[in-house]
Amino acid sequence: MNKQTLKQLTDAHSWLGLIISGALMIVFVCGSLSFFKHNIHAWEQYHHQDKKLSDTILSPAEITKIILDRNYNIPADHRVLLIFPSDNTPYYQAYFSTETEDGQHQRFQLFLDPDTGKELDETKQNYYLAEYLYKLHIDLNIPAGKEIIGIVSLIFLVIIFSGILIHLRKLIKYFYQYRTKKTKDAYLDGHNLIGVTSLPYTFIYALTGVMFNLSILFQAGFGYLVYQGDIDALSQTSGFTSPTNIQTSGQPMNWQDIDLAVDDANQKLSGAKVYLAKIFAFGDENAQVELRLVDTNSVTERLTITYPLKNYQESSQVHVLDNPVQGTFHILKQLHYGNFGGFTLLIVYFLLGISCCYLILSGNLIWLEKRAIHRNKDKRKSLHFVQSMTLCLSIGCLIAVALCFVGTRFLPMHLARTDFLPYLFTAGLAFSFTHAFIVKNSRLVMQQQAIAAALLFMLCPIFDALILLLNGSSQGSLTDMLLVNFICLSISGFCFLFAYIKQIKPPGFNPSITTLPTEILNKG
Amino acid sequence: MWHKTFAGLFSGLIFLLFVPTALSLFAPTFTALMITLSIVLLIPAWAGIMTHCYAAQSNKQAWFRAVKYSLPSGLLYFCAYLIMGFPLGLSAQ
Repeated sequence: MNKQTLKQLTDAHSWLGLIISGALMIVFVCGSLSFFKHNIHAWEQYHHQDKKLSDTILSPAEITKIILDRNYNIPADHRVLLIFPSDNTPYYQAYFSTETEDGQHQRFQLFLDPDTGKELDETKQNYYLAEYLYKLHIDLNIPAGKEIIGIVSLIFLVIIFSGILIHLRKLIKYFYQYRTKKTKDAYLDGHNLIGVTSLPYTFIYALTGVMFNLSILFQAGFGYLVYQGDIDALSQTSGFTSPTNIQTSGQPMNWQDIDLAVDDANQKLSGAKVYLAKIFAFGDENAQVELRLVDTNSVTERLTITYPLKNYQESSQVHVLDNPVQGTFHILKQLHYGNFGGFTLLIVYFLLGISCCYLILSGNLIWLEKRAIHRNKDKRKSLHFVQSMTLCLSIGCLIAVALCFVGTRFLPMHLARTDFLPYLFTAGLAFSFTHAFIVKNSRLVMQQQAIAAALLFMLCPIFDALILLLNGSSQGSLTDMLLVNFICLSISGFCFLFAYIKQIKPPGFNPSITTLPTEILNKG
Repeated sequence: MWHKTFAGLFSGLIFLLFVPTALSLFAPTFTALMITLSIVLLIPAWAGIMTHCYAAQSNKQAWFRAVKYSLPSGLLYFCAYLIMGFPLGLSAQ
């Protein structure tokens, strides 16, 4: 590869990395934490847990009867999704749409008490941190976020490819190279070392990111170029089918058999339990219930069983590997979630995710300092703004997430965190931007903000340890509490380490070089 | 940079959409396999085309590379359309 091509690739690698660094940092930080979503949910409730799932809850059939008795006008080709309660979400959830006389649809989301069947007001959830982090991971909690993440994932794949090509000749020979004498080399070497080591991980995440978020392209492409807009035919081929063409009889639904169907399904796949039901032609005699079993310890085990409620014994089942599209989608999904490898793999995935944060932060700093050195040639006023924005969205993301943890632990219970956490996250980013704008020296900003994030992440573990020592244990899960605090301390340790590396200055390094001289600003 | 971005993005997208759909028209029974291959191989190919465009020395060269990927893909689909006929009646299967 000639020098010119390498230069073009290096430019593309740097610019693209800088442009997507903010979104990618949020996705990686929140995604890494979302591996422990259920643990974080339990951690949130540790000091307040007053509601656990009792042994005598209503069955799915009884909950279905409660919804049935409300006489919603649910069209036969729609489905009612019923999610069963668990220790982390101790209530039934029902999702469906009704149809009005003028053909308009209205979406419903019900939260039902598993003991009484009464509707709960869950619009103001007190325990929102785990869900909020997951939402940030999948769509940044902004409109069209899913599509943005899809594009970001595609660009991330380009960055991976360009990085491989740039580093190709030194990939094996200098794999163990880590020079600590010169600071620039230290984080450039760290960037390369982590980049090469985490290559399979980053590749699978970039690929699945595009697959999850831009699957509409395949739907549109195959749907119109092959099937002439017949999306049902495409769904049939790709295995995304549901029993929608059910002939209704007008007779009442045999709702009692839902429990028999669930019991039967629970015997079909060892290591898996039914956790949700989809009911089609709801309320009619010919209604069908679709149950799905996923063995999370395996990459390939997923069973979908459809029971006609008229006679539940005439069930039909489909294994995920029966269809190549379903099989590929499911395997890549499992590789993305990492549940199949148990707790050990989740920890490995978490560490790799945090390593990717180092990739983003070190990459940004390399670019900012390189740019600052060459700024006299460029004479760009906007560098300082770009620098502040980049720092705010990269290292500031850690501060924002840490603030969400602190807010969750220390805010009073009556304050609805569904409303409050997004403000807290934005406040963290705003603080980071302001600090970066005032201090100007990118190295110093990174160092100070990394220390601030480290201290914030330490607050909750210290508080929990004190409470535990003074008051003893609560009703909550001690294992989850210890695990999440360990994760907070790990991120805190990572931030301290990052700040320490940035503190080492290379020979002849002048921090003031990163601030723009007044005469250049005046000249424009 | 913008030229290279759009050249890579659009030519990669055309390649991603037209190649597997053309092959699906030639071999309708393998459509599910084509969708699978699109996910596993053609998404990285899309990123590969973008990388190739970014590696170009000039915007003109980037667009030339983009045409090299998109034009044959379009022609392949056009040939499939002409040879296999349209509609294929795949929805009946």
